[in-house]
Amino acid sequence: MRSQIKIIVDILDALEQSENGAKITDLVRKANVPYVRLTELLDELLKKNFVELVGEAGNYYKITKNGAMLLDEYRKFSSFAQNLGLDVD
Amino acid sequence: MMDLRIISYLVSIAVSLIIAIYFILGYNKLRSTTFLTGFTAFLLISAGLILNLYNLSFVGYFFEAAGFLVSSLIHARTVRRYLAIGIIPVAVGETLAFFFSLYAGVETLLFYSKSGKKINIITGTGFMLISVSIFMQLIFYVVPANLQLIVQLAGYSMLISALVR
Repeated sequence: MRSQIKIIVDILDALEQSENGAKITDLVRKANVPYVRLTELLDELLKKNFVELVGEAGNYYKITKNGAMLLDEYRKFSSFAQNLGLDVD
Repeated sequence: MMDLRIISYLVSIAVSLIIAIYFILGYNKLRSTTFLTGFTAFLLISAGLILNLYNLSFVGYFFEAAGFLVSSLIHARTVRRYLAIGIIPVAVGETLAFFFSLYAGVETLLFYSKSGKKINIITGTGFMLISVSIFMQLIFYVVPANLQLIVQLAGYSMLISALVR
């Protein structure tokens, strides 16, 4: 089972790859998260300014600078943990 | 000139403290328990090393052992989750058995210089082989089971020679 931080990273990772943002239905598939859980997490990420809503109808999620920074931090620290033989939980 | 012991301890303390700091920074950023546990492990190891540096080894090694225990727990939890419940008590027992059989081997070999009996070399080597076989059990996932059993058999067979002769 994936931890919350891993799910968030998978969401941000999927958003980073979508240059113009992604719809929630795309994220369900790309980040492999159930719809209800995904909406809860996206609300949280919106509040913390890790993602933003873009597009004319405001229904595309896009990663913010803060979100990209979190992703970078995760990669940096998870690489450190993996070098010591640990998976980030 | 600073002696090697102090240099070795200072470097070890610095490295484990840097790792501990990196773990706590990771925890602050990501709130992952892996980092919090890693921080605890390396803080305990650092404390143990500092105590050992000041010749307080009777407490220092307990801290170091506790740190490595926490470290092995996170490894077992994250890498081989399915073995986590069973492996730690077994590993602790095996480690103690490894240490004491090795110690018995060294003592027996040293005793040869006093007794002059060649049998001490055989029994001492037997103890050593037993400790090697226990070490093989500790790393069972990379050592073929048959090899470990052959080494164990050889070790105990050498011990029985103490009775035969």
